[in-house]
Amino acid sequence: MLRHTGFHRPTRGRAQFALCYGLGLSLACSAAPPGASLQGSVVNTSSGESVPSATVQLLSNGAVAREAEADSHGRFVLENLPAGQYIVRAEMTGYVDMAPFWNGSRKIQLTAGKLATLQLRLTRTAVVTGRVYGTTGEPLRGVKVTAIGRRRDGAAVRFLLQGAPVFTDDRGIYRIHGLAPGAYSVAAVPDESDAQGMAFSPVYYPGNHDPARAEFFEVKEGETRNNADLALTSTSTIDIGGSVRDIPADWQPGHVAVALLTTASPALPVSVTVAEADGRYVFRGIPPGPYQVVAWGPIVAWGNRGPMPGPGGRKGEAFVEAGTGGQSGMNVSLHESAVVEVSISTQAQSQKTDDCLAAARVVIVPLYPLPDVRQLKAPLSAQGYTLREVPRGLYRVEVEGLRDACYVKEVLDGEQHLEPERVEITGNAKLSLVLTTAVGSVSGNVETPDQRLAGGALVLLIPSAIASGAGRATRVSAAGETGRYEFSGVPPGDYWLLTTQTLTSNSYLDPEFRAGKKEWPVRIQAGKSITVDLRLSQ
Amino acid sequence: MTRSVGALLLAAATQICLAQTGTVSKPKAGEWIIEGDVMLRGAPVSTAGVRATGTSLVPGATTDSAGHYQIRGSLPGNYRLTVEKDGTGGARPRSVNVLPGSHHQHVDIELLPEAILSGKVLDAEKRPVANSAVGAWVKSSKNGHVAFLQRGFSSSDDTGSYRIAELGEGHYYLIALAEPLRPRKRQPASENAAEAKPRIGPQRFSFYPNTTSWESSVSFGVGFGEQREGLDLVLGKTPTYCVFATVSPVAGQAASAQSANLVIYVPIGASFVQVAQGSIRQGEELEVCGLPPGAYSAVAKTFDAATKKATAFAKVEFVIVKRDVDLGTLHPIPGATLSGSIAVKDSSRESSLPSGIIVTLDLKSRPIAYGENRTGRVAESGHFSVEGAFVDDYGLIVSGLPDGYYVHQALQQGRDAWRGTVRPDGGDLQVVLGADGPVVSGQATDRKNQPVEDAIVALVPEGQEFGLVQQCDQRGQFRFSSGVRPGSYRIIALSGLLAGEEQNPDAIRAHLVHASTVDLAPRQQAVLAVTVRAAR
Repeated sequence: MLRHTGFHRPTRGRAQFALCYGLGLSLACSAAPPGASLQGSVVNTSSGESVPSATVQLLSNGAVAREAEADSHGRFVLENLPAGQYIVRAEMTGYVDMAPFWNGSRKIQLTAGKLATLQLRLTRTAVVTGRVYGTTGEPLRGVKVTAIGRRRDGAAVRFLLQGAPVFTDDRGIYRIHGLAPGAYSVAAVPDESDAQGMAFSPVYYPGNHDPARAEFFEVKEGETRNNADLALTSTSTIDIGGSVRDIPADWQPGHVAVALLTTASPALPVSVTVAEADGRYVFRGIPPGPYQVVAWGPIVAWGNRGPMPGPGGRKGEAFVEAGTGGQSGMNVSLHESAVVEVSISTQAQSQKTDDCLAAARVVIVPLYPLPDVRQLKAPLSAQGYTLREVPRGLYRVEVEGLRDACYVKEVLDGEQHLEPERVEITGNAKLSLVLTTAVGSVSGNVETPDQRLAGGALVLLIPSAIASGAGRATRVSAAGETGRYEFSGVPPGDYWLLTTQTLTSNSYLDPEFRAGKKEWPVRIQAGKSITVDLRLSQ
Repeated sequence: MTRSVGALLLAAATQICLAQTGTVSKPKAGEWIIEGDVMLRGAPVSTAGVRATGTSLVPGATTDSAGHYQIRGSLPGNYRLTVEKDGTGGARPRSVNVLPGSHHQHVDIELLPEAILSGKVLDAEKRPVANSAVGAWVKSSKNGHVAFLQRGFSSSDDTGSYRIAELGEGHYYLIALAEPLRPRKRQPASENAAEAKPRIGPQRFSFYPNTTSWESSVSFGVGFGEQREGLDLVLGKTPTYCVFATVSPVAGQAASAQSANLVIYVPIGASFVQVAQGSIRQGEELEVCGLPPGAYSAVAKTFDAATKKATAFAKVEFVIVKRDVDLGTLHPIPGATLSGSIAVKDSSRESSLPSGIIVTLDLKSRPIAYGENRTGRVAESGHFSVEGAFVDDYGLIVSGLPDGYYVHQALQQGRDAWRGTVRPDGGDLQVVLGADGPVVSGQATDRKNQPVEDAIVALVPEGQEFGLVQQCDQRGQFRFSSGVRPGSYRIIALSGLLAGEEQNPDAIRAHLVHASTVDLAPRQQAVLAVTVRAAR
C-alpha cells in the first residue's frame, strides 16, 4: 500500500500523541532521513473517512514553502524540509479547513532528522440557495447576493460579509456554495461597481430593510439550505444630494467618486456614484436613515471591486440622519491625505517581544470601509515606518501576524491614549504602538451534565470584541482525559468560555445561536491565572 | 392615406421632442451620423449599448429613455451595428454604408429574446465538477486561421451546473475549463523520482461533450429565444506532468518595482485556452504541475504598477509527451519600438498619403498582457512607431484607409510582413499603399430582382479561401471601398446565415463554388448586382 519508500507507517500509540496548539493536529515522531519530514492524512472531520486529492500546503513567513497533493487515500508526505515553524493548510473543493477559525492558523514545529505525522481534518461545506423577487413578485436577475454572519462585538452585534458575493441568474436564482457550516443570513446588496448612481438599500432575508429584523439560520456540514428567498419590498424613499467642494483644478471630470454608506450596523455601502464636473451629486431612491457620504479621488480606473484611486488622493465625509423629507445641501469638502508615522515600543523589553514582531504587519482598517481597492498595510519593525496617502477618517489599528502571547496594549498619539478600536486621523499623525507580552491564563475542569469529568470535551475561549487583532482570536482547547483544560498566554481582556462535545460548525460565533448554550464570562488579567469550571449542556 | 398622415405627425412630434432636448443635429463638416431606435417587442428600450465597427474606430452610444441612439464618425465606409441589452439576446446586426457627410436616420434595431444553454460539468465518474468555467464560443477567422470568439460564459456550481444566458443566435461550441493551475516554487524531487509514475489528474479543458479537439466536438446552431438543457461536458482524467522554469530578473529593472507573472496556454488556431496563470518571483525556480500531454506556450511578463505599463516579455513553446519538461531560464526582455514608414506607390498629387492611418500589431494566438501597447499612429510624414511592443511574432493591421487605398506590400528587412509576420525587433517596417484600388459596390437582390436587406456579401481573391466580408444595408446595398487590390475575385451574396456566422470561413467556403468571377481593374468603379443565395 505504501508506494513511497520515505513514507513510514505512522506510530499510532496513544501515549505518543501530543496535542499541539489545538484540534486536528497530532504529532508523533520516528526515524526519518536528514532534513525534517512531515506525513499524514486528510480526513473528514465527522465521519473520519479519508478525503482524497486535497492540496496540503506548508507556509513559512507568509509564503507557501512547500505543497503536496494527498493521494486517493488522503495520504500525503513532504520530505527534506528545512527545520522550523510552519503553518499547515489543507484545501479541497467542497471542504473547508475549520482550524483557522479557531486559532488563526495551525502551526507546527518541524525538527531536522525527525518525521512528524499529523492528521488534517476537513469539514464539508454548506450551500445557501434561493430566489430574489421584485416588488411585483417577478424573479430578478443580476442582483448581487451575499451571505452575512453575525458576531458579538462588546455590547454591540456586528454583521460581517461572508465569502464572495454571487449574482442571480436569468431565473432570479442565486447559489452560494463553499460556505463553512455556521449561522447565516443573506442580503441582496447594490452592486458597488455600478457607477450609474443606482441605489437601493440592502434587503435582508427574508425581505427587510432593517438589519435588526434580518433572520438567521444554521446550515450544517454538507447541507444545502433551499428556498432562502429574498423579496425586494418597496419602501418610502428619499433623495440625498449636495456638492463636493475643494476639488483640485487639475482633476478631470469623473475623478470624484461619492459613496453613500449606512452607518447603521452593518456599515454596508448603499451606492456609489461619480460627482458632476461642478461637484454636484445626488443619490435617489434611498430609504430614510443614518448615512455617511464619502467623496474621494482622483479615480483613475474602475475595477471589479470598485473605484481605483490614483496618487495625490483627497477625501472628505459628512454624516446625516436623513428624515422622510430627504436631504439636500450635503456638502463635502475634500482634504489632503495624511502621512501617518508609526513607531513601536515594547513593554517589559525582552527577546520575546522582539521575536513577536518578526512577521507582523500593522494594518489600519477604516471603520466605514469604502468600496475601494486599497489596503493600508505596512511591515512592522522596531524602527517604525511611515504610511503615506492615508485618507482622513476613523480607523481601527490592528497588528496581524504577531507571534503568540504578544499583543497591542495601547496606541498613543504623543502622550494621549487612544483606543485602538477607534483612531481618528484628522491630519498628519505620529502614533506609537505599545506591544507587550504581559499575559494571563485560565484553566479548569469540564464536567458532563451528570457531574462526571468530561475527557476530550472541547473548550472555546471567545473574545468579547471581534476586532482585537492578533492574539485575541477565538481559541479552542481539548480537555485531557481527566477533563482538565487550560489556556495560557492569553492577552488581558473580556472573554467568554464555552464547552461542547464536537465542533463542526461556526454557529458558536453567532451570539443568538450561542444563546442556547451555557457560556461563562471571564476577565483575563496580566500575570494572573484564574480557574473556571465548566459543564457540558445536554 | 390616414396611415401616412399619422406617420408624418409622429415624425413631426419626434422632431419637436428632439429640438427640446437639444439633441437634433445635422452632421458637421467632415462628419457622418447614424441614428435610430432600439425596440423590444415594439417598445423603446433605454440604456441599450449600441456599437459600430467598421472602417474606423468610433465611440459607441447608449439609448436614451426614448430608445434613441446616435453614433457619429468621420471616416466613411461600411459600419456594422451591434446592440447589447441585459436580459436579451441582443439583435441581428445591421450594416450601413456611410458616405462623407451622410446622415442615416431611422436605422432601427429590434432586440430579440436571449438563448440559454445549460447543463453540468462532470468528471470521468459522472461526479459534479465545481468552479469550472464554461464558455459558449463561435468560430471565426483571423489571418487565415481558425479563431474562436467567446459569446458568453458561466461557472459551474457545487452540483456542476452551469447556465449561460443572454446569448444571441449563433453556431456554438461549448468548452469547459478546469480551474487554472498556479505556478509555485519548485518542490524538491522525491528520492525515487525516476520511478515516479505520472499523476492522474483532470483534463484542463474539454469541448462538448468530451473531447480536447474542437474538430471532433459537437457544435450546434441556436436561435434567438431558444433554451437548450442537459448539455453536459466531461472533464476526464489523464496522466499529467510538470513543467519547470526560472524567470530571470530583467536587466536594468528593479525586480521589486515590477510584478511578474507566468501564463501557460494551449494555442487553438488563432485563439488559445489558458491553463495556468499566476504571479511569480523572478529568479526563483518554478513549477506548474498537472499538465496533460500536448503542445503549450508559456509567456512570462513583467508589469510596472506605478506606470501601469507592461515592461518585459518572454515566450517559449513546448510539448509535453510522456515526461516532465524543464524550460530552463526565461529571460523577459523589455519591449522594443517598431518604427517604419508608409508611402504611396507611384505617388502623385491625387494620391498623397491620407491622414488618420493606424498601424496595429495583431496578436497571434496568445493572451493579451495588461498594459501592452500594440498600436501606432502614422504621422503626416508617413513615419510611425509602435513603442514598447513585446518582442513576438505579429500579424499586421493597417486601418483607417480611405476609398481606393489598399496595402500593396509591407516589407521588414526584405521579408514579406504582410502575408508573413512582423517582429518589433526585426528592423524598419516599410509599408507601401496602393492608391489605385477598385471600389466595388452594388446591390444584393433575390431572383425577382428585389433588394435583400442584411444579406452577406463575400469578395474573395481568386485562388484564396478568405476575403473581405460585408453585410448589406437596409436597401441591400454593399460597398467595398478600401483594402481591395486590382485583380481577379469571386463574389457571392448569402442570406440565412446565423448572426456572426459570416466570420466563420467554413460557412462562406461551402458556397464559393456558386460564386461569380469578376476582374477588377485599377481605379475601376465596379457596380454589381449579385443574386442572393440561401445559405440553408
